[in-house]
Amino acid sequence: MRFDQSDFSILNPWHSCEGCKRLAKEKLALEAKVLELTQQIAQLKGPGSQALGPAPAYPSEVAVEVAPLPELVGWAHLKASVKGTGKAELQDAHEVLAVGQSIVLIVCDGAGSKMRSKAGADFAVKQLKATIGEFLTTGAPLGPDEWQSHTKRWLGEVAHGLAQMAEGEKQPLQEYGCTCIIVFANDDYVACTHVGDGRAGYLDEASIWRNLMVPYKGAEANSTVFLSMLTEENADSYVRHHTEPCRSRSIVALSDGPESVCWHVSTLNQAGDGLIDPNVPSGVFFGKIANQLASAAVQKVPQDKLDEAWAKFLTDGNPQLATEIDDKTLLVALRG
Amino acid sequence: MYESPFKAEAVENYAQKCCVALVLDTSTSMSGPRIEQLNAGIQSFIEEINADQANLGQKLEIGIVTFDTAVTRLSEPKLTQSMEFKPLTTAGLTKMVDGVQEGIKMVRQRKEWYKGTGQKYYRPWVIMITDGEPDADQLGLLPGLAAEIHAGMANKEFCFLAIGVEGVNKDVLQKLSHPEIPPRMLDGLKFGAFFRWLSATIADVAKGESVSDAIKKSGDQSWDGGFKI
Repeated sequence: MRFDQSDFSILNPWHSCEGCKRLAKEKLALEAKVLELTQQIAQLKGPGSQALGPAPAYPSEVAVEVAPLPELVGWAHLKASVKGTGKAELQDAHEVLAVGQSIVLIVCDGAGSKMRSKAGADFAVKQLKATIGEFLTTGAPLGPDEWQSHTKRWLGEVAHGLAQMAEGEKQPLQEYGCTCIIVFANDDYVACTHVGDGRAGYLDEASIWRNLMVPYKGAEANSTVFLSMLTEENADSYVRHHTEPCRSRSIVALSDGPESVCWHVSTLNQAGDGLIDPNVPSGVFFGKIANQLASAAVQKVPQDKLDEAWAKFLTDGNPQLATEIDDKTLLVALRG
Repeated sequence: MYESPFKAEAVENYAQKCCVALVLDTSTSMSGPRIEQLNAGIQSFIEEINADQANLGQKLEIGIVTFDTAVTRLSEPKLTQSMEFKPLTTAGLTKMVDGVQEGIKMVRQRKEWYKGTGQKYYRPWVIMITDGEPDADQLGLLPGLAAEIHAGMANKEFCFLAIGVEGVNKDVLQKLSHPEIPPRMLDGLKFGAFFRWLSATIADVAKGESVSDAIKKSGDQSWDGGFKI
């Protein structure tokens, strides 16, 4: 049977006639099927079948020169977490820890919809800083072979602490949900362990910025996993690790808020016919920031002034930062 | 005072998209100054988006559906810099229900395309502008359309905004609209001011403002003629 538009115009799903009701139902089912088929055809044709509009090309590898720093300076760093324009309160937290030749960056991003996620993020960064600081100051070995087992245990302890906090405050554990990134560098290697999303990267020995983690993205947009979900059973799936043997001069860690400002996260693929998340730190962005930090470190600008200036930059340093709805945490460490 | 040394431009990434379907009444009653002012308003809307400092031109995709005796997809959703807007002309009757349903279909299809191509997107908008009421043969379909709009709003599938021009059947706009975005009346033919407000409102929603707050607070609301039944 075939219909044209004029046949359907008389159909009314609220009409009492059984025939009309049946036909109206069939019409809706047919329309749904047509829409489904249209979508399937579009997907089969691929993204090239409809103009993506102007899309940036896949990022090329660029070596960026970073000014030398005197050995005496040790690790210089920038740290700040600032509220996004769409948030009622800041839900990110961070800590930075330098012990001898080692440095640790910790970033936690509290789940936007959870009432106690800021408390969870604050607890996590403080406990991790204390635990890792104690470990490093005892001089116990923390080589690349031990990195995975130690950080997995430390994160398990944080998850346990969150559960105790939830129990003490009589709140559901998921209210304390936050992501977590730990980035580490010493003279021998760089490493990252993370739960959830955000980004982390390092400057390799050829002066090219590279990623240190792949953010955990769920099936739905903006979905990820949180420390509050961590159990012994899922830890191997939710806690992810990466190490690189090299003496890196710079490491970075950030929440997902500022990622589209400093990271290539959505560009054409290498074939140029679809979109991809290349997960590449911007050499241009981090090259500029690292050189500005190097200059400030040589001038011995006090850390509180540096942090204040860095928070100002993250707040409105360029139009994209000024209009970012999500909280922004960006930690940068640099040495000679 | 210590002067911040930190300066760096943002990386160029493919921007998260927001699809806006303009569903426009081009029936005979919109002839003369009404369609002229609507055309001028859309043209300046496009220019304003292109000039936006916060990159709105890379985020907004505008599609246009017209309804008179027929429903026409005049322009598929695309960035304003790629749009070739041809002034609208008027003729015939008012297939309002079919027009709005086509607008909803347009944003649904665009959402599927965003998903299929791995793109992030904001909640799309369906914006109807009319000075009339549906043809008699469409009146029976209004409850179904209202239910579809209310469900779409409640599920955060899309935002629906109905704008009335003098002569509109306000009851119809009231019934179609969800309480979160009540219908509005245009004061005279202030289409230019309306589209400037629309641009500011969508930008505020894209920055995280709630839809209901942005509708009430954003931009210059001098175009609003007050909606009373």
